[in-house]
Amino acid sequence: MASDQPLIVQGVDTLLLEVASPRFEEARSRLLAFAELIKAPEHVHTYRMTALSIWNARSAGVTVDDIIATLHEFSRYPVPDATIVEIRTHASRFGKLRLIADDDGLMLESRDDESIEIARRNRDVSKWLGDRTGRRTFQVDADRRGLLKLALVRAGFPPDDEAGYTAGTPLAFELRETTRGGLPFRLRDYQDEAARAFEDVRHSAGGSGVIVLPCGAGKTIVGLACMHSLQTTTLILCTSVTAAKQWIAETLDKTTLTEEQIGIYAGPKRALQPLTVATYQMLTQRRRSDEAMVNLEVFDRADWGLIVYDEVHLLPAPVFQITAALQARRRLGLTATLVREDGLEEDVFALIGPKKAEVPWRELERQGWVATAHCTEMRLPLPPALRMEYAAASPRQQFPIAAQNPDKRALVRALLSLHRDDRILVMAMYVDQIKGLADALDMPVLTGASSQKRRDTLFRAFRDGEIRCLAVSKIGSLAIDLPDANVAVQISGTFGSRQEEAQRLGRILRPKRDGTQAHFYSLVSAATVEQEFAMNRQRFLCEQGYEYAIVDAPEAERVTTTAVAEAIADAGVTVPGPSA
Amino acid sequence: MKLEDLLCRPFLIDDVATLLMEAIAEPPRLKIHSRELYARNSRTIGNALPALPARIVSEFPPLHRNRRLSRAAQFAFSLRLAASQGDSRTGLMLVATDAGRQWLMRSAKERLTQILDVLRDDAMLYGGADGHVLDPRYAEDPEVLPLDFVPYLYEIGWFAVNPVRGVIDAFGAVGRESTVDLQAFVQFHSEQRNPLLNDRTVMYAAGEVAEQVWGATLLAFLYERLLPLGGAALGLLADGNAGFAMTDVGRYLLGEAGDFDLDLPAETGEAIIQPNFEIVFLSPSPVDQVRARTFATPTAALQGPQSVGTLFVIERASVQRAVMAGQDAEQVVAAAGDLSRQPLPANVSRQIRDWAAEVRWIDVCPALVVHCGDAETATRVQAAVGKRGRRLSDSVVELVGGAELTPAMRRKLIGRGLFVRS
Repeated sequence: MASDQPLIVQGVDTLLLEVASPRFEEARSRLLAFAELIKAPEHVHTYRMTALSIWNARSAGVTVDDIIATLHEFSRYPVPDATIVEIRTHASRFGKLRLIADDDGLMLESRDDESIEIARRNRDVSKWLGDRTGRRTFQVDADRRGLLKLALVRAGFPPDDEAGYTAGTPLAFELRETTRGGLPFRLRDYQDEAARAFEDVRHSAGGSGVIVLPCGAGKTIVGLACMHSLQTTTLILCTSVTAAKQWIAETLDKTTLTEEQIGIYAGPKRALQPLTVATYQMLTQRRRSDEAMVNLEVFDRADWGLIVYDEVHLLPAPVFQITAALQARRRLGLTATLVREDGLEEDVFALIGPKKAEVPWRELERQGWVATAHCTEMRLPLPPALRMEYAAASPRQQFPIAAQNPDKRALVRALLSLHRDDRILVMAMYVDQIKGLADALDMPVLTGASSQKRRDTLFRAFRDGEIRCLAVSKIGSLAIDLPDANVAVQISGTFGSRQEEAQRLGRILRPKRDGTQAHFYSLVSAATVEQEFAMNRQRFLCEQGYEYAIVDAPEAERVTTTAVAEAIADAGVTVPGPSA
Repeated sequence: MKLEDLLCRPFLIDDVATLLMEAIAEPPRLKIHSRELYARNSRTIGNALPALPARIVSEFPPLHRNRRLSRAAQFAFSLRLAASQGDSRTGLMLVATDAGRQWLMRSAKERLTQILDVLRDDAMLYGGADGHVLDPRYAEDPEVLPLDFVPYLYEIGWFAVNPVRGVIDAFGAVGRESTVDLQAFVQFHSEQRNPLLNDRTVMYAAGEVAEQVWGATLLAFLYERLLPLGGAALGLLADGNAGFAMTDVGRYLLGEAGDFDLDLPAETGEAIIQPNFEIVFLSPSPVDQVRARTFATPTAALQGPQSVGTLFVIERASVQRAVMAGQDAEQVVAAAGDLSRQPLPANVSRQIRDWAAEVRWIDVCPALVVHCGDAETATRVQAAVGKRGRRLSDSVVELVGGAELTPAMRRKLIGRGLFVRS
């Protein structure tokens, strides 16, 4: 036993790394080559090896002996035999089948008779195979490359994809050293490393992948750097028109590309240019529910050399299917939280590509690239008049009653007063709730029904400091770039959605020019199902390395700015004084 | 000679600890007549026993998990660390006794010494006597199985000579630094130093039988006593034959040493409670595992006492179970704080208090409730029964003081024109 080593191997799905160990950093960087970081709470981080993470490592040139040697080197206790056997078993399956392209087109080739026979007899695999052209080869339709890969991965025989990529139409541009706005610009080290990790595989058999960076860390910049390294026509897919406009604004600001070279394929504007930005929603639009999606043509109407999937964790199912057919094009996924409530993270890795880089939030906070955030859950009781209604309600009805606790309004008012010099986002799941609160507190509000023009106007006003508070419904959880927002008040959330919690917190994580710290408040009805769901969300944030304080809000009739400030201070959270 | 794939850990104390920890968390069921664990429980607990060197286990059946578990149960019952609870109606379960819980809280050496001393006492009692009689300590409790210094005495047979002395002499003769070929050792002592050959009873008239019986006795002592208690190191010699060497613990068991050094990894109790409510053990600590079990839920499969990693999670059900078992919120918070090497995260302590505060006790009792149809009728019922009536709502009255409608009460109701329909 080596008690000074940082790693404990419980099994392939649980590798524990002690943060306080002097060898933590070294072990972390070595583990990331073949394991996924699952949880990063304060003291001990959890990594997981899966069949896919091992295959991805093999695909990147890491040998099974490298993996086992790393575990032995850093492990505090002997590595269980069963774990080593499992690693070897998974690794041995990689590359038995490979996808190659020759003059006859795309082929699936086996290194032995058994593997090709297993593939042929598997119904989910065989439906994507074409004619048998030899004892160990099958023809494959190019459009089915992704679907075949996914089926083979699920069958436990990941193919080594050596078929290469379409180069795309060349698109020459440079990253600016001074932005159009006149500010000096260069990639931060971690951005440069992430882009290089993507670039490193540019000429190898791999070639696509996912980059995971915390909100506010500049995923767009990394995307631009990857595009710059490939110099090819690019299609960027993102979650909203607002996000699309932000991509375009960043591209114009930080690259030599011009307005004429960039098109937006969203809303009424549908221009295909060498760099085109489209929304997932636009791609999956149908005239009628039983009709085909009308805009999927965008994928084929240009010779894209790269497709960028922004917020890749939200990739909708139809785009998954299209992505499966786009395996000849390089793919870059960008996300802050690769957590899907539908559990399809593995499919993201299988279709987009393996994780190429991930920088933990703590690390960036230490370097000053993201703001320090204080997370506070404020618990308030249901008003007496609602308690019987809540108690008698069905479990389905209980959540909305608790989430829309009317006493939250007074608490929001006190928090706005407490943070009177800050820039505040108030977020809710229920449209009626956020509208009612905005009316009562005389605050501008944005919902899904708000026009793009109104959204642009309010976002600009918030950025310019003309308004300091903005109420947003679910549309505010994602891809709104309000760099000066430093306080978020969440008055209701989508049940226990972990990624929504992380995304909402992400809205306030951009480092502030004056060093102001960020505050994230979650208002929760005490002793209700809302508290249970909040617990799930809270635990997820803790696993990302955030600390959470729980505060009992003053009773409704006692809610004042001073009382709220005292309650928060009692929990050890520093806030500006009520008189500040 | 050098041994490979060495086994020298006193794994019996781990096996007994695993059994007791499971009994504390969720008592396993026992078969009524044999008091053996049901197969499902055996499988679950057996899988949690710490692994032994695979090659050694494959060579020696007494080291298989099933045998280890039944041995652990035998020791636990015999030392009164465990007991059976229940009857044929409610089902029988294996539970940890207070003595068992105290044993778990001791250091590894103390736990081992307690077992060794019971066997040494047995040897002292009977080592000098002729033959073997039932230890009176066990006579008072027929459930408790005898724990003999030499196992399987009754199966081996009735001796006119004392086997205890013979076993001590045989294993005591192995030199301090010596590694012995096991087969050669058994053969030599069966043929050359066999006390049964001096037995004049009819049973061992044939020398061949005596040799077989004595060889089996020596092997039983090695497999059932010395090895599980770390008294001998077992391994494979360069030629592939099994070999063994005596340890300090073995000499103590034989009564040839007054103390022993136990070379085991320190049980330092490096547990950390994380803000996400998980309890991570950075080093093995059966003691801390027992503490954690009082307010936290084991994660995934049952863990053995030498396990490390994320072994428990604090959750609402586990905290409320602790409260139901008699702890208050502050005691649970204090226990969690004592367990964790790092300060207990504020969100965890706060949540423990909240979960504990949710616990309410209610009394469920049979009651006689009168549904009256309207408020006027209910008022008449209340007037008829006087203080026995308690108005629950406009038209419902509870008759307190019993769940039966007495004839006297029925007469009073009829006297007011109130007839009982059902």
